[in-house]
Amino acid sequence: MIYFDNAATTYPKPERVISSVTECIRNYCANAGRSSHDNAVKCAEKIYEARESIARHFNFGKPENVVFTENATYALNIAIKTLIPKNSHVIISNLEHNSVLRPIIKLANDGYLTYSVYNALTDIEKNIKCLIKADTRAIISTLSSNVSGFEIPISILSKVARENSLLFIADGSQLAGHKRIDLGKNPCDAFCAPGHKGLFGIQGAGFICFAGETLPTKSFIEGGSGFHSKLPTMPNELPELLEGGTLPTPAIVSLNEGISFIEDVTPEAIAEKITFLRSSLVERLENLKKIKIISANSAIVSLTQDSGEISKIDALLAREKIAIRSGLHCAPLAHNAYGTIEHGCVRISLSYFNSIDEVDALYSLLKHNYV
Amino acid sequence: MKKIIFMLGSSTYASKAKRALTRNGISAEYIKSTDSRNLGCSHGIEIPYQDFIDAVAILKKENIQYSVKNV
Repeated sequence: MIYFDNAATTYPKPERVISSVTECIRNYCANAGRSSHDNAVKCAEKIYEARESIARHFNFGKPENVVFTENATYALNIAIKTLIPKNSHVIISNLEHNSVLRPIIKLANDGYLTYSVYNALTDIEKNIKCLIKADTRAIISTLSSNVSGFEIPISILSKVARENSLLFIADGSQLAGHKRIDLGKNPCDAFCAPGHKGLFGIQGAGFICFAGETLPTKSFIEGGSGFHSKLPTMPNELPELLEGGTLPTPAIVSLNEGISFIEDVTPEAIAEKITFLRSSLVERLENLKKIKIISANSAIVSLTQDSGEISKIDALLAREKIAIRSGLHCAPLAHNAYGTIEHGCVRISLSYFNSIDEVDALYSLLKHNYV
Repeated sequence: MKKIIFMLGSSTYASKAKRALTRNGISAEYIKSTDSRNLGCSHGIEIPYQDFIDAVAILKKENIQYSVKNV
């Protein structure tokens, strides 16, 4: 199989990530923060090490403000539902994934908040500022579209939020691991990301970096926290305020190892390789008159047939064992923005582990069928 | 050897404290006990008694809150 579905989840994983998971499960996986035997202590220390790695990688200095979640969807839901006060107006982008759009719609339908949508494809700063009202309390925005790879600069979002005393919740799902993200320079009240995409961890862990001045004061889920069991409520401090139940130690260990891999290779080298592969693919595809490129940014190239349909390309690639994702990608707003809401598009999403030979193989197949 | 225990509450803060002390050359071992708040079990670290003053300074610098428990 040629795997071009890395925006969904990265494959393969670095060997060290696989080894770290195997070692954890074989040798020491216990329930962190519950017991005092060696394995439980080791798990607690490994988890704290992962918090430190994340805080260091994203440059915000407070490992105890890293909260682990199941994935980015949970991270975004938790951040949105614990930080944004009732009767707020919030601003989201026109590229949001359903992991932002659906909780916002639900909260709006419940009368908790109102929202406006800014156009991220033109003048971002101007488009956000013209939506700010007296009751606006937050900007919630993706940093990179999962449909097109289009990047919304965190520097602009952070600046507008600070200038207007707004909370800033960032969805880093498609950018983390592809580019160096500096939360020290670009403060963010909550930065959310999954472990299993660009950070090369296995599925099962995501996280929130509460990297600003505003911290949550209410729990999202209530359950065991491993200490002070007589307390009738969740502990009132991060991270345990928002972490109920058993943490996914193997997934967190893998995330730590994935970050270590990225730092060894460097985000710059990863970006360079992905840029090369993306540019090479676009250069080749531009020769195919029956293929229309919708967008090409970061690690993503999105395309359709010239008729706008995608079903035949999708079937062809599936038959030839080339893994992509077609459709609306859980991002209807983005497809509206790109004019592809009727049929969706075919998304080719690259990783550091793809090769130019794989790009050539894809091109040859499409050339044979779509000249 | 006489020991003293710093009770930190969560395993997160126990790990944070342990790493801060170990980085500064103080031997620290993880321990689970109860603390003065009588809320149930709590996580802490145990250090040699003679390192107490240095440990207090390090934990204060790292903004780590604790209660002290004699062994």
